[in-house]
Amino acid sequence: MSPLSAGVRRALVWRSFLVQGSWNYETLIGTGFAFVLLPALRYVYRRDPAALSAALCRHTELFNSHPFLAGVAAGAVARLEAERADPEMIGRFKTAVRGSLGSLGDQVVWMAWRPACALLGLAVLLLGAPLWLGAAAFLLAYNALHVTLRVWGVRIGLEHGVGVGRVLRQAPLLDAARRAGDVGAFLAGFAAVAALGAGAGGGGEARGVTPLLWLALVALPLGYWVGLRSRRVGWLVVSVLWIAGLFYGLVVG
Amino acid sequence: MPELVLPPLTLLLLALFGGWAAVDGTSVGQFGVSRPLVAVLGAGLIVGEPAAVLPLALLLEAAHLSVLPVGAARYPESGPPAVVGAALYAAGPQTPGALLSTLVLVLALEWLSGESIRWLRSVNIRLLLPCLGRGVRAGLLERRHLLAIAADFARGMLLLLAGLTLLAPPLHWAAGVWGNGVDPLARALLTMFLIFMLAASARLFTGRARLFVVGAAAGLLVQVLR
Repeated sequence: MSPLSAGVRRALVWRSFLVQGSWNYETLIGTGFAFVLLPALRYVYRRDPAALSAALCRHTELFNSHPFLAGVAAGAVARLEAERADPEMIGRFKTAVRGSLGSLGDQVVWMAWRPACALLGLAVLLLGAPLWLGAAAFLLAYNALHVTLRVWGVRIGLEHGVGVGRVLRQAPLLDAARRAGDVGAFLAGFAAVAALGAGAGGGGEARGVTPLLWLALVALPLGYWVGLRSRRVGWLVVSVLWIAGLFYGLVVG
Repeated sequence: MPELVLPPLTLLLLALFGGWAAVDGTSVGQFGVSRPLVAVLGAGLIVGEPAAVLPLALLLEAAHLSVLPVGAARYPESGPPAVVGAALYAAGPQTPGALLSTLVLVLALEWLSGESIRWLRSVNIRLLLPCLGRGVRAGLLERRHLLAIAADFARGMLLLLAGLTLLAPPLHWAAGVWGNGVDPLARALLTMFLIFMLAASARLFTGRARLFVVGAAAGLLVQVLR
């Protein structure tokens, strides 16, 4: 049984979507975390404005977490505040969880789930589907986990308080990341070859494989080899060739 | 040189969508509206050319796969620049040369857009200073937090309007020059860029080279069967 009202719990979930609203280099998401927590603090300290101000002062301090999992910390801290736990202990708890919530979210969402969902959307397009279908495939797949994590995070934080770390360890998040990584790697290979037929330069119309096969034989292993530096390298090469093409066009024209 | 002419309502909708794409990146929700796949579609719908902007969505999304917003890293912003690119490409000749020119300029704008995020985050420190330390009032914190979100939205709108204004003339010129018999080269370059970026994204998923090869084989099979 949560010591907070249903309205406060709902407000925590809704506000968790705005946790990064005032991201800054001084407190990172610290002020956003206090913003998320505010309905709970107002409820707990409704008869003590000085205590509310003191609690806010503590929670606007530096804090960081993956945004989707910040609700886990917010829920747990809301529960601790409702139980009038020692402020120093709450501070230590926040310090302890912020690193692990950040790295867990990065591993699961930024480095596995989101790119896999984006590749799903791209693969759908490269198979000839209209743009809205590719975008819808991405949005549905990506937000299925996103919204679930936000809601679930606040809930387990409120239910388990300082014991939330155990729940996180037992949750199949890293397993989901592994599976998403498998799908992502498969889709990256699939999309890279399918791109040949879709022809990005030809307005999206289908073309045969043969005329541009040699391009794939160069670009595919090169891209895999360059890896995460690809954006900078790709942009540089394309920009140089683009400028060279402009010179050529001016001379011919 | 003809300039980009958009009806006021279209321009207003694009600016609002640019603002939404900006806040979606970090400040509000992060539902994925800022991803090029979605931002380009939104802009394409607003300008009435959702099908024409598909190749741009493919290219920009592929280029954005390797961007990881981990920690306080500096990274390019995809949302508003993708909206700018889609609006400009849809309004232009839609040739491979125009697409290549749009890609190069939008990727440059993404870096500038990313720098504007860094600037906003520095501004946020000053904005939130009264909310730090003893005696902070709850109402003030709420107002400043929401003000920071509003500032991010305004940043997105301004980027959108500045991008449309500043990129339209060079894009029109470059598309015209690239149309002088070098379109096949543009086509080849774009296809190579797309394949290169998609192949590179496999490195996000470390230790899965075999699955990448299996995926490539499946892609080849589909191409042959089609």
